[in-house]
Amino acid sequence: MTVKVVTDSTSDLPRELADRYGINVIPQKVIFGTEELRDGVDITGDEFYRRVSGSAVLPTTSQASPGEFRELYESIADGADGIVSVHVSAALSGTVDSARSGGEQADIGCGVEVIDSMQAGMGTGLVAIAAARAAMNGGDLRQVVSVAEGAVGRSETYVLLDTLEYLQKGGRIGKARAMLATLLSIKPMIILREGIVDELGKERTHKKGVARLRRVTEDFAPLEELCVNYTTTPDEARAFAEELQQLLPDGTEPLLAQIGPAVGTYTGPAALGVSLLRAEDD
Amino acid sequence: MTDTLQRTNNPAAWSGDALLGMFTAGAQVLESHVNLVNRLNVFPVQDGDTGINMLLTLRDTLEEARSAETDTAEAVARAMWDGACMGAKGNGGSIVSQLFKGMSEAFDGKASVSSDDLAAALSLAKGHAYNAIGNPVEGTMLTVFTYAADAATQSKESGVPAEDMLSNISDAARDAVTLTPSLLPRLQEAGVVDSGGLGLWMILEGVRRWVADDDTSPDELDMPLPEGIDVSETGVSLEFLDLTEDEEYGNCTQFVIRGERLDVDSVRTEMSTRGRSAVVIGDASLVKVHVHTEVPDEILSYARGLGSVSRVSVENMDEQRERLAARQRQEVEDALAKVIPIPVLAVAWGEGLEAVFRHEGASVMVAGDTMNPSVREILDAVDSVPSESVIILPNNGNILPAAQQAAEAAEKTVRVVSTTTIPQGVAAILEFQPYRSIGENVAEMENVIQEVRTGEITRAARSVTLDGINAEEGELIGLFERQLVAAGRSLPETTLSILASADVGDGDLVTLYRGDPVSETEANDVVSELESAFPSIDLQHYYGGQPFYHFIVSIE
Repeated sequence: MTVKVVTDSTSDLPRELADRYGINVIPQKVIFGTEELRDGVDITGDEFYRRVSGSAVLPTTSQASPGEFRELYESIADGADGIVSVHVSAALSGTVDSARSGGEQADIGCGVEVIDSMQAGMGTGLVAIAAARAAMNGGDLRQVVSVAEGAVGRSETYVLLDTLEYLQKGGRIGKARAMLATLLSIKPMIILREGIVDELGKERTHKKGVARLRRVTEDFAPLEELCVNYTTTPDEARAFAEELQQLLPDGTEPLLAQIGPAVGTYTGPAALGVSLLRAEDD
Repeated sequence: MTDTLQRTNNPAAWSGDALLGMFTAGAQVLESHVNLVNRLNVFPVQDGDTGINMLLTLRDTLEEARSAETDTAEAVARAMWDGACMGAKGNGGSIVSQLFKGMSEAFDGKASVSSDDLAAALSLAKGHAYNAIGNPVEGTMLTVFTYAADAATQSKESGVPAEDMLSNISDAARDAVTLTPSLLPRLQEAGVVDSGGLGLWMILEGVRRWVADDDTSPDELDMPLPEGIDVSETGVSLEFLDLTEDEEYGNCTQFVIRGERLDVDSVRTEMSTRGRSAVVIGDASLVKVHVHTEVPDEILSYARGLGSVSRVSVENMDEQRERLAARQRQEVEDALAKVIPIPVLAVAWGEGLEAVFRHEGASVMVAGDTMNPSVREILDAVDSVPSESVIILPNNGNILPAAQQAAEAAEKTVRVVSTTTIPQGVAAILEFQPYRSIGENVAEMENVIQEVRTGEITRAARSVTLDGINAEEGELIGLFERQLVAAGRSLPETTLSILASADVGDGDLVTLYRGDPVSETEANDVVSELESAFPSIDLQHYYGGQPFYHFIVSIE
């Protein structure tokens, strides 16, 4: 008997990580005008950024429906003694509600526990990975839920944006709206913590922004896991991940993930970020 | 407080102190809503600042009253009239000053006065107000004066207590304000009430509150606005402004004549024939004139024939109107931008630079190199920042000391960040975070300004040899961190020298703020030269609008 772990595509979990940890990823929807695309299935991250760069109107995103959740749960429930479904912050998306309804409707013989990760992007992904590890180690439903809930309180995401433009066009920016009036060219830094997006500060140059990203990561240590997130600049992300390697315990590699459409709609191209999971207190 | 005693012991016997208290309260109410009064003002267009004009007039009135020789009603009222007459600004100020003329006459020879005396003063004042205007129009402050004075007279006749009389006066004035649109079609058209009338009611309401010992906050006011007027928005449409554009032309001319046996009435007649919207107030020894005319010189030479002329101000009304329109557009833009205020007072001079700070949420004090503010002025600016703690960014080495002095003297908690240039100020304000304490913000700002370097391009005010470079008076010079690095070279060359001195490199941010001496085209030429000379920098340029400096250059 095993516990199955589910997340949604908002978590930006790269395919190989999902496969390695046996995590089921339900695609969210990206809507360009009247065209509805399944995130990661009908459209890749690179295609998405190509399209938004040339488009005056931003796409919208929409969560998977309760019916889609029900189908997924029913398809994986066989032989499972529980499903742990880890999703994007309920303050930013209706995914958690959708998953709960789907779980209630599902005609299955095991329980579905829906976890609000209070994160987005790989902030959610890291919580899902922590849950999947516990499941792989033979944890039962209660134990996996407990690990996931513990990880929720230890994860934060920081993103350095190249422009305010997408944040301005989008919504869901919480207190980050304070900087939207600026006349100056700034590199905004946002933080995703406790479910909401907030303004961490603004830097005048990308170089200074990256230095700040390094400082906040150092301040957040000791780390259990870290993921460097990018939208259109994988080389920069790889180099940055190498720099941060020393902050991780021996034997742990930094992860690398492309920010997908759901979060990317608000960051725009050339953004760089980190999702961090702090080590548990001894 | 003596006036408290007088108020409770004998409500109908007011000394000079009491008069001071009443009108201080009146000024407070007006002050709390002065922006609304300014915004409502479209009639006439050329006096775009009715609220502030009335308020400044009241300030001078009260200041003079505080220095009255004795505390008698007579002395204080006389001082008020002196202050009001000298300080009267614009139409609104001139008319409101008539209130004090009426008081000085009605209170003559009296150590203390009753509400009956006040009614007599209002009645006199109403007459003076009508006389002061060459061509009286109903639906303006004059109507409000009439209603107030009539209510006072009726209350006096029916012998009601002082408190009730003041209440009747305020209510009547308020009613008159709501009537103004129906009396004056243009107000109706613009969807506003008369701004001056509204201001006058605010003053009278303040007086009422003082007399009634009513300690409602000046911010709280039941506005007499017709339906459809949203006080939170600009009350006047730009379309309306365009419609009224051709109404008045010429120059708004104001001056004071001092002399002996001046004939106010004949001056008024003269002004009405030579110009429009004439307002003439004063007495035999001092006359203040406000008139719109195409021949200000002729009017001034006529005035000089009567006595000594001072405080001359001649303003082109087209420019005034353009300024008003620009200001309103700015207001609209600001409203759209939804700026969230932060407790920062930034000193800047130049439309663009001021906007940069305003858009970050700061309050801006307009001052700079040739306009260094006094400690008093800085304190006033600090008071106007809507928070209890204020961070000052002086952004100028010559203003920093006064700012520090103001911080010590201020009642609010005031901290000064030692910014001596605009680029430092910009870097500092971008560091502000609402979730940090004032102390933390100041510390972070002090850190970040160390990383900013400043270049300036201006003309040499005198010939000088500095840092091994010879500059002739009037030549273009380039300064980097206040060291002379170029002289007598072209604008692009001078800018390049500054960047070379700064040794700018990969990823550095260079921001150019274009000043008044440089056209947009010239600035664009400089930008393209810089882009080809330093391809790896992040180059930004903005309109700063600062006087004297062709460019202010920020290197980060």
